[in-house]
Amino acid sequence: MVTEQAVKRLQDCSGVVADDLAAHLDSSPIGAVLTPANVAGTERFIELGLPHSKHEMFTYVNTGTVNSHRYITAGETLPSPCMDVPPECSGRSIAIINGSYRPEYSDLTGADGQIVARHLGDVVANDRLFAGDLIRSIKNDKDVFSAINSALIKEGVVIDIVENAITEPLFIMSKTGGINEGAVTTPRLSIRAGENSRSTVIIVTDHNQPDIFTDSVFEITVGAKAHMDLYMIQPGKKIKKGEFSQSFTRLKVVQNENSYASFVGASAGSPLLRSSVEWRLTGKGCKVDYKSLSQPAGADVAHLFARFVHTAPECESDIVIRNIVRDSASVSTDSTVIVSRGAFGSVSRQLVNNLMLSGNGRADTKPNLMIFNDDVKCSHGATFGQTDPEQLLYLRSRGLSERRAVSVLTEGFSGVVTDAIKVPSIREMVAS
Amino acid sequence: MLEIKDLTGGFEGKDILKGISLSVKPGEVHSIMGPNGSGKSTLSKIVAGHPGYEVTGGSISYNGADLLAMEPEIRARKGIFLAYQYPIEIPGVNNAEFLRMAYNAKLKSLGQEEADPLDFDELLREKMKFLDIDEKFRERSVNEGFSGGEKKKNEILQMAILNPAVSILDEIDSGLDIDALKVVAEGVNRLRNGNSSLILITHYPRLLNYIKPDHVHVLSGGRIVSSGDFSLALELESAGYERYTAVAGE
Repeated sequence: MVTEQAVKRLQDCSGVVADDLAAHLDSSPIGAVLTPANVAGTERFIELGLPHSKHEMFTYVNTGTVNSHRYITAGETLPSPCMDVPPECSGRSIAIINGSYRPEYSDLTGADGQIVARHLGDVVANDRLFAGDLIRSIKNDKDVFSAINSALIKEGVVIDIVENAITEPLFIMSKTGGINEGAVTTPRLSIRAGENSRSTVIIVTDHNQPDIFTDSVFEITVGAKAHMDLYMIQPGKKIKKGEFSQSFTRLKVVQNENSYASFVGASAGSPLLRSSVEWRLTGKGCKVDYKSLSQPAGADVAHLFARFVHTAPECESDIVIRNIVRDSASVSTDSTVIVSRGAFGSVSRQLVNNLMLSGNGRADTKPNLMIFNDDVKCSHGATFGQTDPEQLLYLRSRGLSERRAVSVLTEGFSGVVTDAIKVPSIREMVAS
Repeated sequence: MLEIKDLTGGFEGKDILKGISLSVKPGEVHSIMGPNGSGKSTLSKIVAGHPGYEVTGGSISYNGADLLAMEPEIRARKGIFLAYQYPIEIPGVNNAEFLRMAYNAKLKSLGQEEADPLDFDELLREKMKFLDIDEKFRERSVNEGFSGGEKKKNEILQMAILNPAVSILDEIDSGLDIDALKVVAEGVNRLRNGNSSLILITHYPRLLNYIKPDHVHVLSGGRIVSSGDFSLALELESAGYERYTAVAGE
């Protein structure tokens, strides 16, 4: 009945997205465990509506292409994950293929039971608390593409890092491929790091496939006193000139009391890449070091929309966002630190640096602060520029060619982010 | 080795140098002294090839070749080294890696193979020990967060690695306390040999107490207004530049 009502409401909406969501919901098996999530996502989609450029979240996004894309879910036809597990993660890898958790390609034999992965549907069916939280999260999410993900998910994975665990790095590969062009995939991942745990999580998203739209949602909870190093890497693209792919990722992180999280995000570029981040510091005394690096080239478009919300006292956020723009690529960064009422003693530093390596590129940046409390220390800033001519000359006056000097300065610019990656093979992958 | 003839030039359309001639032979140490604004740093930047400075007249010949026709990196590879008055900070670029790249660029220009990383590491350690430089300099970004003295030491370390034929030390003494000055000067002295030349640019004669020049030149108003031996520096110590600024019409 609930499903029928949602389908009916979708039929009142215009556009191919609504039609496709209605078709998906209509064809869902009766009683499927994730149907409530699909319905909640659909309802949320109807409330939020399709984005257009006047929506703050999508000011710099060409919404025409995403709104006209067909939202037909993909089959699971990829024959092999082709996953190169970094040596540091041997025995601790998770495969998500076309949005589905694939235990047969995953390996947690090296996790000593400290990391547990389960199908999202199994967790929803057996954990009422989790199921309730999932629906609440969907209903409160302000990102329409997160709502679309929720409306379409048939699968997902929940990873638990047990309390007091001290784990070696975990590798998660979310990969798209071997499916019909024009399909949409909806990877959905939840990670719950238990209280007082120490973990390193590497998520590699390989979604650059021609005419595929990947709409991912990653939800992470860092337990009280836990420490997590989180790396989210989008490697070099494989798209040929003239082909198109869209990769949207919603990252939602909640940190609890006295937890620490470091984050490094690195993307090598994609025809259309959008990252939407909501990072909530909800427990007293927690801290996040957030660093991201985006390197669009050619005609790539990259967007970052990030919200860091301090809701508890004495939390700290350190945010460094770096963009390197080549050719006629464009990048936009809209990041805001929000210090809520009651978040006394908050400390936040926010810096966005744009390195323009071409006269044809474009960078739009808004580093915002919204402070609703006294007794806080917050700074924000942004820079735009080409390679520093004095630095360039210094290197050349030591014998480096101009081209090499530009390359060294570019590596130095990105090194501020990549050097924060503590897993050598991942650091090398990003640096190269 | 280095012949500067009637050199005029400056930046933003203004001639700072108004006809400088200077001949530097292998193994010689020249000191160029002068008051603020006399053109000392402009001379060093033109010799190093700073693209922001233009030469409007005269010539610089280096081992018979036209130095002014060379790009800055070519000058460096051929043995011209400028130790900066204000060494540039380059965040994110590892100091040891930068030195290795510079060293390899020189080897490549000489038709030699790049240095094995382990061999270079050994060379770097040796030079750092030689100059009494802390190991921490290896892994830090180039000049980032260095004190004034550390930056100057890092310049001398680069000089030691690259083993240039002509080194121009632009106010290497500025910003250094007396102890740091002694250390830097001692490092420079250790690197001196009969084949390489030094051009010391400084305001103050005190540097010359530690690095003894063969020739002292007074630069004022964009011209060399007096040349002599070390006794000229001693004279400047007591009488200052007043006499020379009057000569230059400043």
